[in-house]
Amino acid sequence: MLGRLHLLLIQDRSKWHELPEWARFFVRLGFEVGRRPAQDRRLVVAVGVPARFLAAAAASAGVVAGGVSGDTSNAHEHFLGLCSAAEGTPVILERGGRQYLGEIHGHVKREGEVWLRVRIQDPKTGGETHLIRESQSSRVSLVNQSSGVLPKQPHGVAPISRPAFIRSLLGTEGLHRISSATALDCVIVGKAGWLKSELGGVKLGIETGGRTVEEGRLDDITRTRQVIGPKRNYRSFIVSSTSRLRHALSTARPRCVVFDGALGFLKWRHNWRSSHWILVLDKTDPRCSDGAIALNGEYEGRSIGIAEDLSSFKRPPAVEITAFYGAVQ
Amino acid sequence: MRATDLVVLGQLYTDGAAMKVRHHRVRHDGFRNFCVALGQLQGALRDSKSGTDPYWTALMRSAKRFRFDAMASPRAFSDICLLGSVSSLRTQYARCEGMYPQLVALVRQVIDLLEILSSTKDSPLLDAASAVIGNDLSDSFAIVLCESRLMAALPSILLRVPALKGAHLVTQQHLRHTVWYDRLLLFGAPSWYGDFVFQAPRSRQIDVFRYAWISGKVVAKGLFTAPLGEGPTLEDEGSDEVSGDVIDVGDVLPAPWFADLSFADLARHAEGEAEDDGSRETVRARPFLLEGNHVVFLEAEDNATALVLDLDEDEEDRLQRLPVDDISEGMYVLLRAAGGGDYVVAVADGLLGAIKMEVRTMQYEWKARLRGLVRESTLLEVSLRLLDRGSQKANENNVRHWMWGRSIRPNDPADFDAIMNLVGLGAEKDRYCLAMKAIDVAHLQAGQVIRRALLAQVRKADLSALERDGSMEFDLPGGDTGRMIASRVIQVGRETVEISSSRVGKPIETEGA
Repeated sequence: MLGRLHLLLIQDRSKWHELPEWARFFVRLGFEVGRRPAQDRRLVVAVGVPARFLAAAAASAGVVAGGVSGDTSNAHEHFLGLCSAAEGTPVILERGGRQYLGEIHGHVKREGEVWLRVRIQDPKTGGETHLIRESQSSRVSLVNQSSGVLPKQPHGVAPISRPAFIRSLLGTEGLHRISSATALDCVIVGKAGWLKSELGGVKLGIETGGRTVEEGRLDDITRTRQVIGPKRNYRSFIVSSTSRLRHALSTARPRCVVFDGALGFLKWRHNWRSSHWILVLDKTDPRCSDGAIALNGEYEGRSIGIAEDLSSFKRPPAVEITAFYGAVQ
Repeated sequence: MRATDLVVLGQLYTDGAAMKVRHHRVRHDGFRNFCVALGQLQGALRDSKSGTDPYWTALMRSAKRFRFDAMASPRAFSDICLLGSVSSLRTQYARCEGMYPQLVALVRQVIDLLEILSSTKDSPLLDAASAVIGNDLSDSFAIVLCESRLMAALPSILLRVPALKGAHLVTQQHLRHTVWYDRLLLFGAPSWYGDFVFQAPRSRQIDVFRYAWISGKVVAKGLFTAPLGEGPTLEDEGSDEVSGDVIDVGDVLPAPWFADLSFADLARHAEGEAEDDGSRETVRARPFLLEGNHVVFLEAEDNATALVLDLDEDEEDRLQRLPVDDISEGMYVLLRAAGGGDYVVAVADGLLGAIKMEVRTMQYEWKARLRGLVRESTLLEVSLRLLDRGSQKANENNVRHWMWGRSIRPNDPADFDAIMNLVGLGAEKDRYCLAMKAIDVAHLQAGQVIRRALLAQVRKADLSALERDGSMEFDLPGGDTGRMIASRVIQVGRETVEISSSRVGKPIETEGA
């Protein structure tokens, strides 16, 4: 289920090492939470850790990866929808790690298989058209607005700065899902400076065969709005625990909220009560016990009970963990 | 990321869970006799309800401070600084017989023992630590002190002890960082250290050196009501048994300060009796206990902020203006070294230049008139009259805030117009409005000037010294008026109090241990 996430490497003094067990724990935890639809049961997980470094960032990456893996859109229905779309319907075609604006040009049947036709070039200059079979149809997504005419020469844009890293990690479909559209999988509440530097600064890698390592960052997975910059599809958003909360964010319904530290939890926990929560409490944080008291208060008001299915979750020895199903509002 | 970080993090997550606490009970008859005598004197004062008599302050402060310092740091008794000389204590308490005849014998005994101890070179805690480390080949161990104040002169003392001269000397705050040692040496009662020292340990072994007559078992504390799997464990090899003449640790160090002190009393005591009517400039403020036994009150009204240094942040983000309610232990608040109040006002006055006198006089004038009206009636009455004149937000709290000298003007022009009309300045309201706008702009610019100057200072400062000592001065433009002190927050008061605005930002010295 984890894909190749458990094979992540981390660079330290120009050398690649296996991601430490404690860091893998947070990725797995985030993945486990992120893959669950929030509308069924709202999961509240809290961990007490000896140091906060990378914990929330790694969990957030797990949440987004889990969300992508848990995307249950039906490929057959998606393909039928594309085939029945009107001629000229604008789409985005994912090809070779780049995204091309295109149009649907009907479908054809060859040797008993239906193929979708997607044109990505102006017919006057060649009209490059691609045939897409059902199993590859996740590479095609409908877009709301057409740019009008197709380009004279197809020139796709790279939606992601290190596509090979993500493709190696989550597969071609995962790459497409994670980069093709904006979706708020994860809100990360904490000190923005710390989070940005951990998401965008720590070098990760994944072996791709022949001992070649594709380099990436946690943010290639989390696609955090504040790290990748504007005008790009994002999956996560950082909320500073020391700033004011924008109304639009407070009413958003992310799949999961990761609280990095007690302060943000104490301030903003009255929001996002339809989302999963992961709370990272650093035991050296002066507000840690206040955060734990508030979290235990949430436990008192839980909806069902403790999340027994997480009780076998292997954790590093110095980590305390609790998990229960929170009351949904 | 440095190579050691990953290694250290691995140790924190794995080895930290197997931490053991070893207790080393230390004995010294002379010091025990002193502690017993002082404990009896404390008890007698408590029983006779005489402890609050200021007569006892000098003796009790000196004796209690000596006792605490001797228990919490590894040094010779003669290396402990007394708050006052023994001879001055003898002079001061020479007439005790006439005032408290039943306590004379105890007082003499305490002073005699203090004199003997303060001249002896015995150093029981240091000797015990040296003996333990002397047999060990650990290459990385740290001496951890519960208060920064106790660091003074210790480095040179340790240099004279072969077994300990390689020790890292740190305060407990340092153990909040990603660090790891083979061994930690603590001195005194474990309860003098924050929970994080034991619950998120930075070593596999913590050696606690404490006198045999104080208690100190360490127990594992879980964070959650319903943990998944086993909760945290902690191996404390010592029982809590102590000799019969045990001293309650709570008597050695004051109980949590916010439970002991009435902040309103503390503030009133510091500023003298203030008039208690509606015209007094008061604000809601939150008390903070700072390093060095100082309490400061910071305004905690809505939107009130204070400058803080957060050493955990990246260089560019270290200096922050945070909502006062977000300030927590371990951060460093920046206060003016002289004059109290906000440095912004002084810098803004400089930026206002030639018009400073005129606009500040105007600011003072309308506030004085408004205060005058409140004095003649009530805050409620004035609020209602303002509402009648078109104010949108007049109420008792807001009127009080508008009267306050540090506020510039109401945000809503309708409120300002209503005030101008009520205080008889309606004809000049446009001129007043422009003047307040000039002050507003000057304050904004002043904030930026201060931030730039402070950032420059912070960049070149030795912040490890700030962490070690708990406070540091920063010189900004303006000579003495521009000196600011960063002080570590030791504890945050849970309750806010109503205090005179003149007390905001001025540290008040407390009695200490």
